[in-house]
Amino acid sequence: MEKGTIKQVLLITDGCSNQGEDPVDVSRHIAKSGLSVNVIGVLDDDQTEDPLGLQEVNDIAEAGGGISRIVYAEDLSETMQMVTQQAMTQTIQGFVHQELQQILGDGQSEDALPPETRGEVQEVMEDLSETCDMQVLVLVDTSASMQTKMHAVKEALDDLMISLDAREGEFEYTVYQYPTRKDVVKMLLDWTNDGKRIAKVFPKFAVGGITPTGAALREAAKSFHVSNQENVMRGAAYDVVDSSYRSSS
Amino acid sequence: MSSIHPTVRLAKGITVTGLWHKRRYQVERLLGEGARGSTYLVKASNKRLAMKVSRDPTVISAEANILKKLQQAQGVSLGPSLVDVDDGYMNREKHSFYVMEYVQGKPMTSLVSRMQVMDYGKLMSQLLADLHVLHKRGYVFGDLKLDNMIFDSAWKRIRLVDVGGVTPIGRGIREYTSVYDRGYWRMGSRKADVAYDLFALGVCFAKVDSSLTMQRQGDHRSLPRLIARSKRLKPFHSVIHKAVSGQYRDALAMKRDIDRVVLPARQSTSVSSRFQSQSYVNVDKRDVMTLGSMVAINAWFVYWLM
Repeated sequence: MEKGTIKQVLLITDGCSNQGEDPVDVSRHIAKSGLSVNVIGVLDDDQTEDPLGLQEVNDIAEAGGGISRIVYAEDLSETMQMVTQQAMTQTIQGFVHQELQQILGDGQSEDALPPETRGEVQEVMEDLSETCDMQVLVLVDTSASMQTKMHAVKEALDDLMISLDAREGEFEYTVYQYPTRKDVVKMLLDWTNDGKRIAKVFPKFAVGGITPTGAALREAAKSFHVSNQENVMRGAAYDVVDSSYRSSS
Repeated sequence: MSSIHPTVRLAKGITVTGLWHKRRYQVERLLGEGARGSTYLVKASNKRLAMKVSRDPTVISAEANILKKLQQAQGVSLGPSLVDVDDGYMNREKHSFYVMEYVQGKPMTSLVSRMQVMDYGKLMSQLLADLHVLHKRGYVFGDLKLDNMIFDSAWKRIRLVDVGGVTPIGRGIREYTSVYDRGYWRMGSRKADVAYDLFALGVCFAKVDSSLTMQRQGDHRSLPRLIARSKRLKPFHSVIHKAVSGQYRDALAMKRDIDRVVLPARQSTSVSSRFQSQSYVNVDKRDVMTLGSMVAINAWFVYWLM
């Protein structure tokens, strides 16, 4: 098998989208192209742990085959690391599970294996999650209410890069913000494997405006297609856009 | 799958029977609960053992795997010894579990504030000898913290429990706790190397002084500066500083520095050399054998699955 690349969107937001497309539909749609959409909802200090307004956070992740967590700003670092890690493990487990079903027969799960064999399967999964390549698209909601949380977001992303850097597999990330005055989303940092560059991105975050989560998600996710095309067509024109993706939307 | 809570509640007195190996365990009480599962004190043919249960079977497989590997270093107790891995019905649901040696003693978290700093130094010195063996085998402990240290009063030494963070050298640390983590303090990577454990041990040292606020915020962003403030830790300032700034090549180098502080010179050398010779002989042969079979199994599996 060719070493696979795990693709994740990491959406960081603090509330409901209030404009444009339904982000749950968008999430479901883009997940079909082989990526998972993970969402972290950031609470205000005076919010309870399960505010109604943040239900959307869970719905977007579920539709996108990803993981969601709703946390206070101070817990962001640990949460980001955990969500990224768990989402990757989930993808790998899903893959290994599928392969095992083919071997064991339909309806049989890993339970059917004795603990010793399961231990070996576990070992394989751990190897895969350490060595597979990763692409993470970070999409940060910078609407006005996020202002007070941006410092925590910065620290957490910085911390996340330390974890991604430590893996054996290659990793690449890109950072988008939404909204901006002119566009739905704006790329702040193009695909890179240099974890240190995340720190330089943050002064660029301008906070303010409405929250068009759905549209932002759709636009940002195109970044994966562009970068894949680039890999295939090395040296070709930079602005290659996957046309099939456009037409299906 | 991600949102499942790992806790499985077991009432005192119930019996869990292994579905594969048919061994029976009677639950006595809860020993501890964490983000990855719960540990119970159980009885099996009048022996007291510890049983870890989780709703997430991969946690059980992963930790049992680690315990199996640690086991191969006979003569040195790197972690609790593994007794059994199985599935069983608990409250009519099937869960995976493993059973290990019950390490009796008090957690270091509860002892550290009352302990003489020199006595603490001696315990750390002993722990470093054990860690050195683990490192020689190609692993780091990873999630090294006071909560994972039990003071075994019978043997007057520290035992490490909860092996969820044990990581092969060169890989990303599997599990860590912020305050003890080199990455959190921005003093290095999260890649498993010997210095990662020694960094965490440096923080464990700093924990002896409860007046230190071990949080990276405001003016307290520099760990070395934070530690330098502690009067209580004065005899160990240089050791801790070297540990958190990655200046030790291996655990024995750190141990030697601690020994210079806590022990008269002659005694110290004899203790450390005894530890070394004892452990090396045991380790080498076994390493070759088990590594060989692991690689073979892995290669076969990857081929089969892909």
